[in-house]
Amino acid sequence: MKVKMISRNPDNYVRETKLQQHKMPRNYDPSLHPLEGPREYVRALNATKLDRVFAKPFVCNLSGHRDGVSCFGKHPKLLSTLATGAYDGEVRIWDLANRVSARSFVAHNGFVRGIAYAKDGERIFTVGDDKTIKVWNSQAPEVGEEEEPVNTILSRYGMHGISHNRKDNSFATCGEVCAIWDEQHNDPLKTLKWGVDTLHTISYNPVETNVLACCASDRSIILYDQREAQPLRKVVLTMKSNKLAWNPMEAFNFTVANEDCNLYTFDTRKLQTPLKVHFDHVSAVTDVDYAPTGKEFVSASYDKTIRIYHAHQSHSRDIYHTKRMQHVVCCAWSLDNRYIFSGSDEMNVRMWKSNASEKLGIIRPRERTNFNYQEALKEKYAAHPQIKRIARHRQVPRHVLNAQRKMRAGKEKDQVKEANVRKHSKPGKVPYVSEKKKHVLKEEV
Amino acid sequence: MSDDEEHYNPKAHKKLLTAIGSLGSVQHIQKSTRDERQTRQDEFQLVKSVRAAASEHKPRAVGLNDLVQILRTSSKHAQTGKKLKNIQSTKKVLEKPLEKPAADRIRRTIGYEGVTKKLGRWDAVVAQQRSAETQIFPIPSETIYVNTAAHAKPLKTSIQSDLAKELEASKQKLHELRKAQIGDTSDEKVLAQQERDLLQKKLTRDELFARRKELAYLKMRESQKSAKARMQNKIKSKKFHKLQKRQKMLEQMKEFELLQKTNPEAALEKLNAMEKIRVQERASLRHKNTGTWAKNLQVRAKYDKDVRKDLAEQLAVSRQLTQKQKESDSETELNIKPAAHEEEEKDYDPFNPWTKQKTKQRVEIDEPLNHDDEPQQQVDAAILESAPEAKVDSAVDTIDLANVATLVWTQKKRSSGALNDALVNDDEAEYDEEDAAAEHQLTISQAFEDDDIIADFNRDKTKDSELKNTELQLAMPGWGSWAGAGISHEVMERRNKRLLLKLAAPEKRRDDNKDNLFINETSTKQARQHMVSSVPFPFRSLADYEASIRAPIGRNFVPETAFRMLTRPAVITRKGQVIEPMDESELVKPDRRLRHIVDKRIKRLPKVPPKAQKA
Repeated sequence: MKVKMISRNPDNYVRETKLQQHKMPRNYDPSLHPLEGPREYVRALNATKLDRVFAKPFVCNLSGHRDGVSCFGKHPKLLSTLATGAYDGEVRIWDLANRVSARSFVAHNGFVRGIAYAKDGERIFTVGDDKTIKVWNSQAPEVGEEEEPVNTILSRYGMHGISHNRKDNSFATCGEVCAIWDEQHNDPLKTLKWGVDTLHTISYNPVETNVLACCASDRSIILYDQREAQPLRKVVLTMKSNKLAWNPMEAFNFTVANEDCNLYTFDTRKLQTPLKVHFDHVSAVTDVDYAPTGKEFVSASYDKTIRIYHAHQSHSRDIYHTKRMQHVVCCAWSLDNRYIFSGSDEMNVRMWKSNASEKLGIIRPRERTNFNYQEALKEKYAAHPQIKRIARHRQVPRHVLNAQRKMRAGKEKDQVKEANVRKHSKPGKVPYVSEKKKHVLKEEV
Repeated sequence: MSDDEEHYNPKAHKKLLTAIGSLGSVQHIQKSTRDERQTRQDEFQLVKSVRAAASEHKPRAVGLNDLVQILRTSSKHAQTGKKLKNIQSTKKVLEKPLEKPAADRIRRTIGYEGVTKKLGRWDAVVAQQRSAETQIFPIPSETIYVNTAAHAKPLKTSIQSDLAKELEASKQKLHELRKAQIGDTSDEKVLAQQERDLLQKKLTRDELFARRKELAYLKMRESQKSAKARMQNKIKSKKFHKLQKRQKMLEQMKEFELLQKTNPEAALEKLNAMEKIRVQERASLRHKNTGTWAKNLQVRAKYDKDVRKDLAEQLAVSRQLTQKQKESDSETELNIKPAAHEEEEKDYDPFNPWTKQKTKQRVEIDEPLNHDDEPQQQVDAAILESAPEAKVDSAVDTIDLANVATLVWTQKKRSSGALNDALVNDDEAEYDEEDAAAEHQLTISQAFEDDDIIADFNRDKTKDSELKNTELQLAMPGWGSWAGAGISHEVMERRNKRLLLKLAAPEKRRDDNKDNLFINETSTKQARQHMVSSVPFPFRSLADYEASIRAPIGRNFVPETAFRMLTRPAVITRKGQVIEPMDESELVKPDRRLRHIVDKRIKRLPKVPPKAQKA
C-alpha cells in the first residue's frame, strides 16, 4: 500500500530571520469575500469614532506672562523655541520641549507690537509702542550679565508690526508708513506710503521675498515690492483686516483675518474677488497663520476659539477651545506641522496638536500602516451620512452656539428680504451677487 | 453839469489829480508800507505801487518774437533773426510733465504687472504640488555634489594620453629629420598600400582553409538537425508535443504581430488563415469532451486532479480556437472598441488579479443604491417573454397570464420557478396549435383557481399605506356628554371634528403607478440612514462613485503591495524637521525622483481608462 505523506518545503513557511514577518497566505478572490464592502464600512465607522474618542488636542499651557499675550515670533531653525510678547512690554522665550520659560526681559514701554527672528535665528527684532526697534541676541546672556539689547533704533514713526525677510538681511516695519530697514543701518532704506491711514500688520512673502503686504485701518490691504519706490496695489474690503499670512507653498496666495468674522484667501494676481471666503467664526478674527505645508491654516478669534481650515475649503475642519481661554489674540503653526500655539488675553500661551487625534510619541511601522489604512477608509467613506455626522460633530461653547444661531437667523433674514425684493421688482433688476463678490469694495490702482 | 459845479467834492478832486499825476511812463516805486500782516517780506522791501500797476495795461512777458523783431531791424543780425524764427516755428515744446498722482498711478501699475508676472512663474509648481498623489515635507532636495577642494583633480578632457601625444610628436620629428638628411621621398600612403596587399595575399590562403572548414561544419549541423527532427517525430509523449505546439503557436503569434507592423497585407492573409482554422474547429468535435478519450477521462475525473486539469485544458483549447479573433483593421477596430471597453471597465480593478479573468457576480455594498433599477429590468424581461402568449389569450376570460408571469418574477427575484419554466418551454407549441394552447391555458387556470394572486398582490401593496390613510377619532363615548341628552347635534359634531386626528398624507410609493411592481420599502428603511443621498464632489456620475466604493482597500481583500499603494497618505511630514517654505530652486528642478517604493509603483500604474459617456 502506498502511503502518501504531506511534504512541505520549509523554505515556503520558515522565515529567514526573526525580524521577518510570518507570511500570511491569502486568497484575494472577491467571490470568497462577499462582505468586503460592509466590513470596510464598519471599519471606517469605527475609525471615525476612534478618531473622535482620541481627539484630545490640548498639549500644555505655558504660563508666566503677567499681561495679555500680544504677539508671537517663530524661530526659523529651532522647533522648540518660541518668542512671545505681552501687553506690558515683556518678551519671553519659551523652551517648548521642557514647557518652561527659558528667558524673559522687558523690551518696551507699553505693548510689544511685533517680534521677528532674523533669517538665521541669531537675532530677535522687537517693536513696541515706544517707537523703538530693539535687536536682541537670541542667546541668553551669561549668568550675572543683564539683558541688554544689541541695538536700539529710534524711529520717527510709531510702529505696529514687524516682519523679517526670509532670504536677506532686510526687515520691514509698519505704522504710519511702511519702512524697509537693513540690519546694518539705523535709518530705513525706504519708506513707502499710500494714504494717511495706519498700517497695523505687515508680512513678507516667504517665497517671492521681495513682495510684502500690509493691512491698513482704512479697511484696505496694500501690496508692496521692497525694490520699488511705490506701493503696488490696494484692495478695500468691507471691514478691516486684522492680520495677513502668506501661503508658504503657493507664492501668490495669502489669507487675511477680517473683522467681519470671516477670513479671505486672495490670489495676488486677481484681487477683485477672493478665491475663498472662510466662514464659521462668530466674532472678529484676530490672527491667522499658515501651516508650513501650505495645506491648512489656523485662525484665532475674539470669540475665544481657534479654528483650523483647509486652505481651499470655506468651512473649518476643527475648532479648539477651553473654558479658561479668553479672547485669542495671536496664533502660530509650528514649523514641523505638528503643533499650534495660541496666545490669549488671560496671559497664557497654549500649545495644541494640529491634528486633534494624532498619537504623540513613537509610532511603530505596523501602527503607522494601520493609521494610514484608517485615514484612507475615513476618506473613502467620508460622504456616508453616519460617518459624516460623527466626523463633523464638535462640542462648542454655549456662547458660540448662541452666536451661531443668531448669525444664521440674520443671514436667513437677509436672504428672505432679498428674495422678496427680487420678487416685487422687475426681473433682472435685483441681480444675484455671489458671496465672494460681496466683500471686496474696490481695487485701487 | 451845473449840479457838478455846485457839489464840489475835494476828496474826489484829489483822487483825480493823483490819477493824472500817475499817467506818466515812469514807474513810481515807493518804499513799502506794512498795512497788513504779511507772511513774507519782499527781498528789497520795495513794492511796485499798487495803483501804478493797476493803471498800466497787463504786463506781458518778453517772447522770442520780440527778440526777433529787434534783431531784424539791424542788417547785421538779420540772419540770426531768421534762424531763430525758423527754430520757433519748427521745433515743438516738450509737454508738461504728468501730475504726481497720475505718474504714481502709472508707476504702481507697472510695478504690479512685474510682480504678477514674477508670481506667475509658480503656477506650474503649485499645480504639480496640488495634483501630486503624495507630498513629502520637507521637500526633498536633489543636490549634485562637486568637489571644489583645492587639491581636487581636474577633469581629464583630452582623449589622447600624454604619452601618445609625445610619441606622435617624436615620430613626426624623426620623419622630418630623415627627410632632411637622406632625402627620403617615399610616400607614406604607398607604403601602407603595399603592406595591405601583402597581408591580403597571405589571408586568401588562410581563408580557403577556413571556408572549407565552415562548409563542413554547416553540413554536419544540417544532418544533425534533420536527425533530431526525425527523432522528435517519434516521441510519443503528448505533453512534449503539446508544449512544442504551444511554442510554435507563440512563435506564429509573434510573427503575426511583427507582420502587422511591417506588412499589413500579409498579416491580413494570415488572419484569414486563422479564421479558417476557427471555422473548422467549430465544425469539428475535436476538442469537445465527447470523444472516447474524454469520456474515459471523465470517469476518472472525479478522483484525479490531473485528469480534471487535462479535461479543462482540452475545453480551453476549443474555446480559444472558436473565439473570434480581434481584428486588426482600423475600420473594424472602431466598432469593436466600445464593447471591449465596456467589458474592461466593468471589472476593472488594477490591483486584483482575479477580476481580470473572471466576471463573477459580486455582492454590492450599496445595493439599495441601484435598488430601483433591478426589479424594473426584470419585469421588463418577464413582460417580453410572455408577450406573445398574452396576445393569443386576449379573448379568453381567465387570469391574465402576463400578470401571473410578472408576479412570480417580481416576488422571487432569482428563483426559476416551475411556473416560469412551464410557460417558457411551452411558448413554441402554442404558436402551432391553438387547441393545445387553450388546453394548456385551462390547466394553468385550474391550477391557480383558488388563489387570487392579483388581489393578494394589491392587498400587500396597499397594506403599508392603509394605516396612514385612516383618521383617528380621539373622542371617547360618553366623553363630554355628561350634561345629558339634548345637546344639539351641531355642537356634538363640531366637538367630534375637533377631536378627529388627521394623519399625514401617505408617503408616495415608488411603485405607485406601476401595477405589476411591488417594491418593498420597509426593507430599505434600516439601510436608508446609511445611504449616500447625492454623489459627492469629485465624482461626476453615480457609476463612478459606486465603483470607487466597491473597490476594497483593506489588506484582507487586496494584495499587500496594492494595499500599501492605496493607503499611502497624501501628506507626509517628518517629526522634528523644519519645513522650509517653497524654494526658488523648485522652479528649475526636473521631475523629482521618487524615493519610496510605493510612490514608484503608484507612478508606474496605468491610468484609469476614461469612462464611457453615458446618455
